[in-house]
Amino acid sequence: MNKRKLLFKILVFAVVLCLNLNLVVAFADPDTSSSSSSSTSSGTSSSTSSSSSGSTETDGTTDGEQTDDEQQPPEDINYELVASNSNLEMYFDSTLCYVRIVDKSTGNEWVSSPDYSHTLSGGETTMYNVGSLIHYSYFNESDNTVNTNIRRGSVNDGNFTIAEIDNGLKITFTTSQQFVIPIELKLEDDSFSAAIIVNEITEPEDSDYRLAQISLLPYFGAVGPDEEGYAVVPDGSGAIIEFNQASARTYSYSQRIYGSDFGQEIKTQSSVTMDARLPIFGINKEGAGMLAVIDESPASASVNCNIVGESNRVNNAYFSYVHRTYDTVYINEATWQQQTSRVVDEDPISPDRFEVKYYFLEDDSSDYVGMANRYQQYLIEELGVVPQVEANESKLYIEFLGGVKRIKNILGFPVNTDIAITSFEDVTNISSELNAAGITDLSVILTNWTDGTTDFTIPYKFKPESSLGGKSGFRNMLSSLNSLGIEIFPDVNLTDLRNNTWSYKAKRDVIQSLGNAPITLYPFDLSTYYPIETYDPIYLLRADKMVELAQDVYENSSDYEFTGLSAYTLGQRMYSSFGKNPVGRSESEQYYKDALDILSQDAKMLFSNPNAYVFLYASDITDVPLRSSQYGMETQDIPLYQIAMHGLINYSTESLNAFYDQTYYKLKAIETGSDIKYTLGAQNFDQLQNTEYEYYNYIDYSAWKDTIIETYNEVSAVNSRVSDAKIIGHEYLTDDVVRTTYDNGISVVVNYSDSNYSIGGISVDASDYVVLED
Amino acid sequence: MKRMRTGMKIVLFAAILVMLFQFAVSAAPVYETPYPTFFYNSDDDAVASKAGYEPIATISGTDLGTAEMSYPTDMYVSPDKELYILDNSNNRILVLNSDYELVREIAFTNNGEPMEIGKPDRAASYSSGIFVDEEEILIADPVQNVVHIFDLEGRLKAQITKPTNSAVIADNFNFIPCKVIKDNAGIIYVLSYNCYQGLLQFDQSYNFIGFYGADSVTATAEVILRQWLQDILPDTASDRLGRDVAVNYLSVDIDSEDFVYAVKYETSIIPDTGQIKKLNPLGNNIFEASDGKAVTFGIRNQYWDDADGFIVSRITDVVYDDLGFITVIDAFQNRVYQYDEETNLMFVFGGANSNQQGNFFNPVAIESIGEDIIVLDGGRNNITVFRRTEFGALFHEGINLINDGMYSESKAIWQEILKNDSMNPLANSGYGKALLDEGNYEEAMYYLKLGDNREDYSVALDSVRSDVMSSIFPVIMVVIILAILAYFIVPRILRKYRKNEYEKKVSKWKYPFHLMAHPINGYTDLKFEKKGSLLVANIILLCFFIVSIIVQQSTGYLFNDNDLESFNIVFTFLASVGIFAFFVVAQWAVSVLMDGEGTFKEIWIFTAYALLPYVLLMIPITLLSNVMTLDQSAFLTMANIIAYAWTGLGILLSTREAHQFSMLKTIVLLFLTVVGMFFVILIIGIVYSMLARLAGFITQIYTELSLR
Repeated sequence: MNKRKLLFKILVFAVVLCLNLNLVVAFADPDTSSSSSSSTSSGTSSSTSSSSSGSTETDGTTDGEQTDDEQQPPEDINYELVASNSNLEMYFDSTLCYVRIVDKSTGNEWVSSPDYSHTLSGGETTMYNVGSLIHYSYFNESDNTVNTNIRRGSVNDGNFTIAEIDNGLKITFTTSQQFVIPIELKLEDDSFSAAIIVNEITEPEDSDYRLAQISLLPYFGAVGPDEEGYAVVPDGSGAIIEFNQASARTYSYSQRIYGSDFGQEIKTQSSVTMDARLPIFGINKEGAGMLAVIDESPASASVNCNIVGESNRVNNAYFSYVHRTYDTVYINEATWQQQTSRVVDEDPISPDRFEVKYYFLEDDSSDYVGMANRYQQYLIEELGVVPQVEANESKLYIEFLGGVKRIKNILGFPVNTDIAITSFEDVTNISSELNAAGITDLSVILTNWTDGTTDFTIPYKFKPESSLGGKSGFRNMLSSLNSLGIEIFPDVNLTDLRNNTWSYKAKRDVIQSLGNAPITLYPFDLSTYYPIETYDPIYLLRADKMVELAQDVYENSSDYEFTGLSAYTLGQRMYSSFGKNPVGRSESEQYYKDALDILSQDAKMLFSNPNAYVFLYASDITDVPLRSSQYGMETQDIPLYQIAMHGLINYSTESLNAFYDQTYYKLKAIETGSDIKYTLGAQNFDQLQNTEYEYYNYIDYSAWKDTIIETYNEVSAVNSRVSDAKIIGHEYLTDDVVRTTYDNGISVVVNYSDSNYSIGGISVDASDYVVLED
Repeated sequence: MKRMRTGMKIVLFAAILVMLFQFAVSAAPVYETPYPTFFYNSDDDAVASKAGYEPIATISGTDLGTAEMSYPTDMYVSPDKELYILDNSNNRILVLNSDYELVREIAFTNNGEPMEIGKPDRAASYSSGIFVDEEEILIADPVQNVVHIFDLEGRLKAQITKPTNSAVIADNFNFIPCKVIKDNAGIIYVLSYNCYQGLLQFDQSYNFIGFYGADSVTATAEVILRQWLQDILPDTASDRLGRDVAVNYLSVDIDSEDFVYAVKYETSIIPDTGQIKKLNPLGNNIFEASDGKAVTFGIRNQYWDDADGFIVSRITDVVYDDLGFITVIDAFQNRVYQYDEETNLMFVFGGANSNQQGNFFNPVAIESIGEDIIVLDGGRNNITVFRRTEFGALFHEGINLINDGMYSESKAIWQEILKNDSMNPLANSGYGKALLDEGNYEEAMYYLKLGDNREDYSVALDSVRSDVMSSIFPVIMVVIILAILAYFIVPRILRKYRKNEYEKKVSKWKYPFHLMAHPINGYTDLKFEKKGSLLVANIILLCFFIVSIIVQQSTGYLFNDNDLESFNIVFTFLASVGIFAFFVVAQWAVSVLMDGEGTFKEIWIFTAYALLPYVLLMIPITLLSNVMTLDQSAFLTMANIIAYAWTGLGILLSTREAHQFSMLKTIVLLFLTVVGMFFVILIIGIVYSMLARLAGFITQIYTELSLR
């Protein structure tokens, strides 16, 4: 400790000396002396930043930032009926390009541009913003982002054409920057669909302008400053953003669907954020509810929400289609000086079509529970997801950490050694012990078990690690668990690559950044927020390799008898590859699905906190988060993900032993109908120190055994009664008391507070729950 | 000398080591909070851990049902647990109860007329401060240069201005009050910005008494080096070094026993230690680590980033909280660090500059009510309330029991904590102490080692060795040392009277041993009779290398400061044989200039021979270090001194004989050799810097070309 301090100080002097040398040079060369500081890069990273960076401009052709609040003359809106079916009617104004949908069953109207837009403050700027069917942004000649709207870009000049299609219209805008953007609006049986026909987008060849993003129907369902409502966003478990908040400090929320793109480099990582795993958002406006689902190319989108405040005059939520991104490239001028420069993706790989479906909810199910249930219905009806749950079942998921690599000194030479944390025999022993204790619905996940996965070798050989017991140990484990009726899901990490193999090499097969360099992932130092580059980097396997790899895994795994397979990273890591032979993000999604088609042929699939594209293949989902990122404008965490999954796919909490407060998380599991999960190991815990797995400092099975059995017995007593039911109600009776209602007549009241709560003559103790039956 | 230093270590390798071994952590741990929570392991690497505090609310003016706050600068908790927020730019105080509801707003009046207090600019490097007790509110006003004393209704009672009739206050003294506190005796302590004499003390009738808690600068080598660098560097670079003047405080707090907790004001961005001082009523700092070094508060694994510079902590406020812990806020990374009374770090929470709950923009003040820690964000104009979790409560209980000496009572608590955080050093140390207390020494040693608690490990080790062994051990030591001395010295004395040494035949293999015992005459023989052998010298050198490894890796845990895991044979080779070669080259270069007679080969052989005492003595010393406890470290220290002195003497004499210099000239030569080595390092640094610039230039061209 003291030595390190001393050495550090010495380093400081060395650095200062060298700085001095650089500065001496810099005096003669003023350009290089300015120090630059920059934290994160990436064009569409998740953030709720309220102030835009210096390189974003709004298209201020005439007015710039308007301060005049003078009222605009009312617009002359002439809606004409263009399509209708038994549920919906669609009206369109062909001069202003406004669309209006009437839900016949409820009589609710939903318009793309609220009629009161002219009465809002902000003058013409606001009116044009709100009165635009789409917004778009582009990179100008100096690679800066310019945001503008279609009213200013095209509609006011009449540069658009309207063509009729089945049940709707196709509008083709030609903007003043000579972009051609075709949009389709049409009615389907029970939904309204808006789509960007991406493969018909054209950009001028002789211009420096390049299209960046298109926001689709940004003010559809917008809520005015005098109206009530909220947005539901898929951040983590899900969150509510209350509209017209008086005390908000930030006014904009934006998250990339399926998480930020690993193809864009991240320089520092400080706060802990959740990702948007579901391609949905919902709006509740004055009691009327709407759910928007991305039906095509969700991976190319971001979800956004703005509330009134700063420059926002209206509350809105919408999807943006991300056509083109940029990245920040760091250029080392000298050892201690860096310059940054922006690189725009010149030839993006785009999907053919980007489509959003809007579902309008019955008035008695217009809250987030109704939205989640409508999404579940969408999954069943549109995607063909088959319910995987069984009645009267409550599972216990145990994840075992197989082995880790640790650098050991052998005669003074650092040697990478395999350390067994849970051998195959340990897995058998622990599982049978828990089974003997009465836990029959046990599902076991095994990570870091293949030859070399402890050091991120692509496991295409499906070969068990010898230090854990090798092939025979693995076979014995499988047969013992099979005979006990315990499901096992060996995990295959198909994306992360550190060690080369003959078939998969870091140089050749990994994704690249816009700077044509391989993307490298390092663990981040929690204390400094900077990557720890002393470890060898992890690379990510290109998505177009995934199908071939899945085939290898499928064939090589046929030597063993097992019924389940887990693919954690395939469900979580979504990325494009830029550079040479680029792979688009939506293209990656398709490759993943093709790979999953192969892997799921003979095996049930398990995923950890996955993106929505796996739902068609998943029988089990673990690690569904219990909270959102808790951005300042998010007023309430809600179990949106859980409600959408309940009664459809088995799901569990994150590993409860990663948390301290077992009572709270037990209650949380009961509230959200989640099964529970633990991560365990059997031996060598002190060997985890100074490895990448050092944070597994809570996985000692012998210490946790009693807690697990006790908690499981309690949670399963409730959850097994509702395992195949749907959640039809979730309400906060007070800030700390929640009632979850199921469609089989059972409801559960959970009291998180320190005092008793009584409901209908029944008392709920502090930190306790009751199960009510109709 | 408490712990052995292994062989020779030198700046360059040290620097490289530090750069290469920033170890640790995690791919994707799960957190309960919107920011990572962690502890530092015994290597000072951050490891994810469970949360001791969690954010439960962010409260703004609107949430309180009043106007938004505007640059609130400070807050204080009154004795009846009301939170007073100095909402500076709105010229008011908000008073919140312990449920964080607005109780009242205080406006300032002077004789019934509304009055304004000074409003420091956001950009200014000072801000105003508030203190509240049962009867009055004190506000330090750096703009009007006074301390206002109001009653609890905001009516002005008095003002403290710059003391005039004092011998110790110069006329040009700038009285810029930033923070103010009052002790039980009613003495008021005023922190004046940029005042290096300490805090100003005023008595109950507001008369200036004197200064308190000034810190002196000791002229350490580091300070002198800094001064020298400041003189030679251009201003921009020397600003980065900071100034070595007596300390200047930024913030203060006081506990119920009148101990003052003061935050040092950091003018530099250089990582620092001892940022928090606990001043006793005499004004002396009592926060020191057990080994007498200043404690590092805030971030421990400081980091240099190419673009962002040093990643260090800038501590801006401290609170002695209601639970008896010291909680500080770091405004560089916007985090809260909590320490126990022994300055052991317990929890780190809060996060940097995102819009999520529990993250801040510009944290200016920290306070505590009961189990809660409250952070005032002057940038976002709100407060964030952190509440202690169950885990935090358990941890605090364990710490308090240990600090009160109730070891056995704490055992079950540590067991529960280790279940959740098996590598936590404090928990391992605590559990080890409990085991030690109940006499389970062997197991205690395992946990104490994990907790890096050498003192108690030493006690456990002592108990594990048999009592007999323990009592006769010093005797054995003395016997061994006497035997060694006797073996070498007695025959020498005897022989001196017996025979002329020059005629004695000693084989080249035995000659180095002969030299050890006869350093004065031996080297002369070596010079003139050409008894040196390159082969023998190189064998000694090889042994020297092997012994360096043994010393580094096998020295007993109690005396071994090395990271055994990060051992790399290449570095050890460079640090032993490399340094040796470096020394020989430098000495040869310097000696040529000084007309020394020694050839390169001679210097090589002579210096290698001189290393033999080190090679021979360090092996038994290393073995002994494995069975000795800290109490017996004096033996080791003595043995080490003998080994080093013997070797040093050998080098001195061999150099003298090699070049046939006088003793004075030899010393000059050795001094210049060291200087020469320093210059070589400097040149290597310059070449490295230039090469790096060249490499940077080429990469830049490549990057730009590849992006075209």
